[in-house]
Amino acid sequence: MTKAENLDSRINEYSYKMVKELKDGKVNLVEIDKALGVLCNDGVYGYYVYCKSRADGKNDEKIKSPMFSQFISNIVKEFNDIVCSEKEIKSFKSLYEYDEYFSDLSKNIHKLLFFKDILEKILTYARYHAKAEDDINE
Amino acid sequence: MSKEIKITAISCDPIYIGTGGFTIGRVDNTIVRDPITRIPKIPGTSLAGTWRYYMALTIHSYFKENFKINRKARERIFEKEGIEVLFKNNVKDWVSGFKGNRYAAIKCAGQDDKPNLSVEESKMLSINEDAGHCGNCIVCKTFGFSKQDKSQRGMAYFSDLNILLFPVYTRLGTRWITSKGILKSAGIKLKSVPNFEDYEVLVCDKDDRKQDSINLGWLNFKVKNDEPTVNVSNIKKQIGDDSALNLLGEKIIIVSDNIIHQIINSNLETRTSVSIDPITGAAKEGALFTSEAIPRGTIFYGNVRIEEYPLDEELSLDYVSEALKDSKKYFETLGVGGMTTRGFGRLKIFDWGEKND
Repeated sequence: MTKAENLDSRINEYSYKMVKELKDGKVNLVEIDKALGVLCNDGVYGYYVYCKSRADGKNDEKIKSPMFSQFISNIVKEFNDIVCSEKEIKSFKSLYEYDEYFSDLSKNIHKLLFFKDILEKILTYARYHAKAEDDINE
Repeated sequence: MSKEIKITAISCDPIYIGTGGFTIGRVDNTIVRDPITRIPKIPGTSLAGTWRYYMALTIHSYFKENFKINRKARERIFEKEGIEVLFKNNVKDWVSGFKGNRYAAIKCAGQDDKPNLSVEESKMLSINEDAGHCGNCIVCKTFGFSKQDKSQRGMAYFSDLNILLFPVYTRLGTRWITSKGILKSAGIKLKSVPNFEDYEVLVCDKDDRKQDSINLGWLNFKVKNDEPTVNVSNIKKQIGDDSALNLLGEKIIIVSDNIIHQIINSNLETRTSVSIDPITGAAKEGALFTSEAIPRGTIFYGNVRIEEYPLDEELSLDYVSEALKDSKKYFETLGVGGMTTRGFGRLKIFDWGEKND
């Protein structure tokens, strides 16, 4: 079975890994909720700029969180084979380089909405994995 | 004999009908969605349950004060002077025209407290004695009952209320979106509407047609200007009573069936709430929760079919229809669904046209 054939399991696996990896870097359920809220209400590009601002917010140290950087770079790298963007993203070093990737994505409505669905599902699963982690630690 | 009532309604507040924790989603409290289209809806069960209560409230409000609780007093007076004396002056025919209504009570709504009592036992108990459903009144006959010795299905069959027109923010103001498939499901026939791609939309307003593109929330769509255009008055005419659509004017946009669920789900109302710690007066830690709701201004369609009992023609279809019409006013004040005490739930059901079969 190829990777793309079992998308739900891939999303689940990835969201679990994401929460586990971030556990040491303080996973915060509210941060997942906020990213998910922006994604649902303002779309994929809104989600990208929101996460970028929270990951790189130079003026406000309080809002900075490595989690938001993961929400962009890791997810895009992991699931780009499904969305099939023509962009060469492996070489992207900074979050600013994803700007063109997201602009490009919005040109095709089906790809854009499919990517949104994937993002939404990853964050939804991550949300519940994070909740479960919180419950175990309590 | 049967009758079909077409229902059109508009939400006056956000409407929250929860799944009760049976789905996971972007919020803690998710709402009910159609499993095939993922479009939110008001299930027929919620509508029927609430309507039953509102019909019971309506008939209870028509009883004279002396007869509100005491069923034995009602029976005594009924035998001497008839049913009209039990009710206030000038009540409608559906109230005083059906003799079984002398047993009606608030307890005829909700779950039956005493299903093990017989109909005879239930109907003579005082209302504050936990008699359960009476099994005789228009409420019990319309919505059904099940007692120890007798059960009867309801005469009214409720469909889900599905979204017909959904309000979305655009740069030109609020527009109501729908799709060909939704209009077709609602029984509305569109004549000569051009085909269009998923990234295009058909707009009905003359000024909107001058635009090259229009945003529906965060998604931008190309406006298809080809003739023929969609005739809104034709849609309004087919809905029957068009007072719901008169509120919208021509501000309707038809989007692709493949995309509409995405637009609707992206434009639902979401709320974040927190419990307050009564000692500190501040937000309680870990008590933050989020909910989603269908926004106000959404227009729904659905229907109620009324079917007579084969061997019991005492209660006419017209009485049931009038009772439903008379009690629907409570949806505008008490609402439907959850969180109705916190600004959610009010629904205006418009007057309907009926079709006898």
